[in-house]
Amino acid sequence: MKVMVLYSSSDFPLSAVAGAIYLKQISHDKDSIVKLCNSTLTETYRSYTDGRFQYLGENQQGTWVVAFSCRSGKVMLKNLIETFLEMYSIDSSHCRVVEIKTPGSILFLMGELLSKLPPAWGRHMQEKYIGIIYPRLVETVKLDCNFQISDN
Amino acid sequence: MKIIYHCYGGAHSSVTAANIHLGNLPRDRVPRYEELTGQYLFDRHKVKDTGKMIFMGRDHFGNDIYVVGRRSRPNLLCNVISGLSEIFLIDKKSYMLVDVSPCVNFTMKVGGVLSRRMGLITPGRPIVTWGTRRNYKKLLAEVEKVFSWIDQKIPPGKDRQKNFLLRSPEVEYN
Repeated sequence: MKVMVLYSSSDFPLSAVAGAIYLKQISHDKDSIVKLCNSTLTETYRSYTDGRFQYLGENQQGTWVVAFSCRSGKVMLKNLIETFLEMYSIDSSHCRVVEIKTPGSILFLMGELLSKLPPAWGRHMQEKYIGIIYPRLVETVKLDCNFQISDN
Repeated sequence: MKIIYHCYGGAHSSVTAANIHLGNLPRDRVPRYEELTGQYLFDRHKVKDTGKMIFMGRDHFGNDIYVVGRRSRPNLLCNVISGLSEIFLIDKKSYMLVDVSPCVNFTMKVGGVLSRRMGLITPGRPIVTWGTRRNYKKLLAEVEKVFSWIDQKIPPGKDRQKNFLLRSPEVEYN
């Protein structure tokens, strides 16, 4: 089984949004973003922090996609995953870890702020925010996940 | 079972606990300075090795003993290991995370920072070793707890279980 682990250093679940893009679950229209917020982000995005894995789905090739947020400790994370897989003799090519880089300092701070707001208050702004960062995340997913997706 | 001792740096308290577990350090007395500094991997861990689970040996129950430094992020360690084991269908009872950071005293912290962070081994190592000798009984008690759990195959008393679970939330019992 192959697994793609996406993580970001933002408290806002950027990695989950990138995972949804990778899985073609959302496009740049408002409806799909609202649907994503309804289905995944609103209730669970707080549980993405501090290394808690969230299963997002499976692509056509059968690769599982999971996402989490981790504010710091990237070196530790890389070592931890590598040695854990070695420990259980799991082929490291079966687990690909991708960092979703934060899209600029202002947008990063906006995401941090939004992640602090209660879901009921920040919901509309979260949708707007996802709309703003969507093109950047598409580029990141294209580059880092080595996966061709349409721009629609 | 894989028993993973973890602490802030993975250089002193976890290494000492692992060596006590493996029988490389005495259980009936506090070891001498040379015994502590001469143990495998004591005060050797580097910052870039954070998160690496290092195999220390196999105990007489057949358990593999590991040490890992996880900075001040025990939750990250527990959550990532838990997440990976869920994905790869690894039994959570096949490993045990033991947090030995409560056994670390101020002297060990000072010595550890001097030796590992600042590279001042000459003053840092004696200080951290002195601190380890002072808290050796606490480390021994922590290892004894682990031994009692392995040996008896039953959960510890409610208060001990609660404390243990607070520090290592991913551990499950039979």
